[in-house]
Amino acid sequence: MRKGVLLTVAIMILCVLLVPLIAYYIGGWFAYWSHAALAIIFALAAVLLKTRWYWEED
Amino acid sequence: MEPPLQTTLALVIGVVTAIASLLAISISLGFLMRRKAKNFEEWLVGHRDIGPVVTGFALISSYLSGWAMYGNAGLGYTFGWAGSWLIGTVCIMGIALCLVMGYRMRRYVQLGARTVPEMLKVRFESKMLQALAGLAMIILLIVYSVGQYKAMATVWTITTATPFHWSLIITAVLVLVYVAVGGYAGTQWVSCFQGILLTAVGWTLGIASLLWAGGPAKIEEMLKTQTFTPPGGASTNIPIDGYIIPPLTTKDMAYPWADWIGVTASIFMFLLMATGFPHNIARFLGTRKISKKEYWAMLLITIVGGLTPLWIGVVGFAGRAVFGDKLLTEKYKPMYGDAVGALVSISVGGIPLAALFTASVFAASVSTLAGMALIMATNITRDLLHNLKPDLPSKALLWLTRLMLIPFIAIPLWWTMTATPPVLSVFMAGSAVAQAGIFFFVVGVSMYWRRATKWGAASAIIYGLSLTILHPNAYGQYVGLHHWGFWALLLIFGSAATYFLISLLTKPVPKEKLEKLFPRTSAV
Repeated sequence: MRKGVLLTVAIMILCVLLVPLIAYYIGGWFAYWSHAALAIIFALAAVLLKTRWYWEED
Repeated sequence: MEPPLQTTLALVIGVVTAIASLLAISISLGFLMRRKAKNFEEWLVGHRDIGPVVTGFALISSYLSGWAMYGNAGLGYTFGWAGSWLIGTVCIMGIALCLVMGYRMRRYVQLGARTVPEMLKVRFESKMLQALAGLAMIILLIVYSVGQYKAMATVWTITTATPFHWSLIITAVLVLVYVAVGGYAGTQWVSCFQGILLTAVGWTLGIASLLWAGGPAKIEEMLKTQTFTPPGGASTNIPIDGYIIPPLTTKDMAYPWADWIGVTASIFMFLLMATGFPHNIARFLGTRKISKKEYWAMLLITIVGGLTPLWIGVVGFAGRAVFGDKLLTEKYKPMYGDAVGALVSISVGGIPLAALFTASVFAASVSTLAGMALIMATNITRDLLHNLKPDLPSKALLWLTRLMLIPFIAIPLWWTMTATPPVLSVFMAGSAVAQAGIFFFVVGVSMYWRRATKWGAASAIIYGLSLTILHPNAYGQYVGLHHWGFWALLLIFGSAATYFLISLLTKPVPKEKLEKLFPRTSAV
């Protein structure tokens, strides 16, 4: 598998893992909005995967 | 501060005017688009020429139901930071997955699919699976509809001082009116308009309530002084300034925030549920071919719209900081903390914002209710009856669909009246876990995994439905399944394991039949 794909997937997994960790260690507003920021990074990575490496034409 | 209890005539007029205006715009858009539809099939998927902006906002609109648009405030209010696990701070992850995976629905529309169960019929060449998926959707969507009823009836009760039970009946009448006059026709365009409205109002109310409560630091400080009070129960000494609310009794384990296992399960639920919701993925049935650039535009729309539930959660935190736990007393039964959204909107922005917010909750819950009733009705007519009698005329199917709307509006109404859930989002999460666990794999993964079989998909549906009944607040408590996190993980990963294992153990769909579904140009 391409390096770029692996790196992008690793970033996506990291984003998910960081969610409970930030809630546990930091909490409050920071955790609340950083979850949203992590979700946005995850979303960008997911669309990057599709448009760059797995684009499909009809 | 005391929550505002005085309903004025001006507020009632404002609310009714806002809802009537929303209804008028939705109906006008619906009629405009319906005129273009020549038959039942076109009515369901349009001309398949919907672009990225309309698809993006329509997806947001279908995602933002009474839960996200109203129930999230109740979660933030009742459970503090811990409520975040059902507010869905990570919901954009799931919406992005839906965006990435859902686009392939277009391929099935080209092959004749007009509904999600029909997509399964095309994918697996199985009428049995189509019928089974239709039946599962009916069961899960009825549960999901109960929360929509509570959301709309609560906001109606708070703003117009109508007794709660009458508000429920008015909600049902509004749904009937909405469907009868064609509000659901031209779905994508109506949904797009509503998606824009929900996003604008959600952001405005969230930011305004943040300022109204004295700013983020003040809210955080006030939340530290609050302890957990169960709806209608006595105050405990458990603080709500953490992301976990440790259970005091076995009953308290029936929530995601009871421990980190529950939290993990809730994250998986949000990852999978946007794709698993049939009403979400169906948004791609009418989409046209989209370029890479347009895909990024669609993502931007879903990010902006996907932050709306978080702003509604902020409304709940602000409400708790200002009102304390007053809404959790018997005085507010059966609405309890779910009343906070409407009360804060009145306090923050007076009649204009309260009226707009009510119209938004109307858009989120009533149009979702109407959409779900329509999905359930088509599950009966198209996925069951048409399956059994393919020669039924299209006109008869259309009329039968309309007739079937009545029971699907009445059943959740009766349920909400006789057993109103104390926290609507917690209740709806039960159905969401099941939809995520079942349909993410059966619908989403099946579009990409060639080796999937109808037996794998059918087994996952049956397993998922069986586990749904064992929800800790349903029959799970009788078999020792008290823990929400274990239950949700068992449902999601059990459905996945069943789907993959049974698929691998059963005869695959012949290669030549898969050629049209997985052409060589396909990268996966």
